[in-house]
Amino acid sequence: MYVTILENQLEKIKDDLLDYSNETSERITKSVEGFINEDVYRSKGIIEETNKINKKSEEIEYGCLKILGLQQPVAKDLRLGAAILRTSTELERINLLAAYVARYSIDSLKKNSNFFKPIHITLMSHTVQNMLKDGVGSLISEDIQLLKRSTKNFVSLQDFYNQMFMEYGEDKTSNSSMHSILVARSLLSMGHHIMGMDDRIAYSIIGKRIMHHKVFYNVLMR
Amino acid sequence: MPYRIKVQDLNVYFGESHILKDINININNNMVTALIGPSGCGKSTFIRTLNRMNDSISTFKKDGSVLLDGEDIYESNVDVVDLRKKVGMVFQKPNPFPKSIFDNVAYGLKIHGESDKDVLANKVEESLRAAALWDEVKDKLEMSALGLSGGQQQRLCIARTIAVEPEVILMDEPCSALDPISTTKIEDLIHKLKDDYTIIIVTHNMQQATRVSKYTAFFLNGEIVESGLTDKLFIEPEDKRTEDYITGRFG
Amino acid sequence: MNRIISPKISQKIMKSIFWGSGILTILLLVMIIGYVLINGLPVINFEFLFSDPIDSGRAGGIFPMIVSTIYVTFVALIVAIPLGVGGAVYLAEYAGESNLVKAIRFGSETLASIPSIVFGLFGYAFFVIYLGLGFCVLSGGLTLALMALPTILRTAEVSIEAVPRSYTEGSLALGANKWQTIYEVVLPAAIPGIITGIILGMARAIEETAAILYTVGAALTVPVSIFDPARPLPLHLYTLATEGISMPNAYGTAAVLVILILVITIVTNALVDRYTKKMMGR
Repeated sequence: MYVTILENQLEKIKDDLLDYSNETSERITKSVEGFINEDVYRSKGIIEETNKINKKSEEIEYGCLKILGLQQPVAKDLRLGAAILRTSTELERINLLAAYVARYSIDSLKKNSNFFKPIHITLMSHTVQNMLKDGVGSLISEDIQLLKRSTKNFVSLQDFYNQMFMEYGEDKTSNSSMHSILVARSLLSMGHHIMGMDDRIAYSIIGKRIMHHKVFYNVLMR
Repeated sequence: MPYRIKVQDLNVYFGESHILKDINININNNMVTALIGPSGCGKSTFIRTLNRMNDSISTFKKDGSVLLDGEDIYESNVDVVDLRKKVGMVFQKPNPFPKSIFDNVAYGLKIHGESDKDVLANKVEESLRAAALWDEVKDKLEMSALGLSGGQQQRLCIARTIAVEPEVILMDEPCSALDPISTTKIEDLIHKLKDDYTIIIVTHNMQQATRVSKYTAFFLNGEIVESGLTDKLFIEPEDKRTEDYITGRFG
Repeated sequence: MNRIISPKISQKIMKSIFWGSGILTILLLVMIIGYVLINGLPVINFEFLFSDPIDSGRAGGIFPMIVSTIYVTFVALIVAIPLGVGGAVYLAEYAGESNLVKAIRFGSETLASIPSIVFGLFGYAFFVIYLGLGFCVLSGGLTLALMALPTILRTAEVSIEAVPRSYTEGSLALGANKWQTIYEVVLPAAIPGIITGIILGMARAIEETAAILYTVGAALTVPVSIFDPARPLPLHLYTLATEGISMPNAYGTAAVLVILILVITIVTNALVDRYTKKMMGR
């Protein structure tokens, strides 16, 4: 079957985006593990790598601009280009947040070590990664069901955070709690960024705006 | 009047061939409407129906109505000459007459009875200015029009059409025989003209449609599959066939 | 399959053959004209051109013959041009493709190939005898008109059909009706071709001897009214030569005829050329 130049270029940039997303996902894992296992070495590595990893975002953005400007795509292809740009930006932010998590890890060990880390953090980490996999996956495969799963997961993410805050957040005396909250906060922010990109991916796939207001209000109004 | 041209349930046949099927479309005033679609799907036939140029084909038959300012142009009391004064046409390949530049632009006026030299001269200058051609030809109005370049000839044809003061201008792929620079000039001209005229342009070039038009209609196999605001049609098309066509997945 | 001759060589050979044909044609033309002029020019002087023949042409001039030629040709064209061009416009623009139209075209083409003597006999039987016009300029002119007509008709029709349809469409789109379009756009564009057709028709008329023989009489005087008999140049030439009246004068007549045709051809070509340049801007 004949594949156009545009399709070729879109495939390539989707692949690049997928790689970027996978690397980001790994960094989330590592940064959280670094916190849980008190692995300073690992955390430092995360921070140092940040710029290198985020170079990919620039490459993806440049590739998108080329496609948009030189191929002048319309309709689905155009919306896809826009979604990729947006996703790439969000991944950039998420990578930075992972570096923050690593930073909090290192800070927490200066005062304390061997303190209790709530299981919610690990659960949140897994949820975020699932959201990311499903979100980017839906962009690559144009599967709206994956996208729905990704956004639904935000509710769980928020729930984990709320629970954790209720159980451990009130305890102002404990230093370890503060760092756990900060890490959880970062993970929640990652969730926000993924929600942002999910909105654009939804528009790209179906051509209508379905901002996930409902989910937000659900979550905020509880 | 909200719509300049209202086409209702139009069906066009050439003998046994059913060329246009149940066409319904409204053309808005002072706007550019683009007609896109693969070759041979009826776009040219459609616009030629709007100024009754199809009348000269003996096998032409039609059903449905074409209303210009509320009146059906195919009524028996309609003067075709008058209709064509109101609805002008610019063709794909520039077709200036083998006459001088002046005579080309003045042609329409002369055949409608104008003979006053001053009136003609004024109108010719006015039209050539409106077509952004005056400065290039003002010193050689007596020269044969066939000595102009392709882009200039097409602007001349536009000037010639404007000279009879039409209300609607039909353009059948006006730039397809021209180089990119001439094409840009004509597109700029269309942009200028739309404030005073209602323009319908058939084009194969989708970027041209997106550049110049406010509304677009997508023709496929003699039917209009989708029509609406150009922005919407090209960014969020509703029909899959439209999407496949404009993204180049077929045609 | 092996080439016997290489493409390069065969190219050179063909080019020489074509070149040679061209040269040969021009050579023949020069020879004929040259022969006539060499033998005829010495006879031509002011007296020859402007005085009447004396003693049946043994001496004197050929003034009446020149006048006859112009007169008869003029009558022929007055009749043939409107009919030919008008018919061509009808066939090209108004008629469909009915069997009648096909028959008209076929008839016209056939007519163009009928030997001139047949026209002459018809002219004699119809114009001279049946219509009672007698031997005169009118009879001759009408007969020649019949001969020139098919040529003019066919050439004009082809020229009109050759006018690009885009001109017609452009004119109609501006609101012109069919007649305006034909008159203002199509005919002017077809003029060069039509004129060529007229020249061809006119050439046929001027050089005609056989058809003239039976219709125009044998007068030695200047024809004044169209009912006067006349003697155009080819006829005079024929008479002088075959009846052995005067070979030198025959050559002289021939020379005048040749020069006349040359001048007409050159002038008309130049005019058509200028017209075309003006129209086409080149």
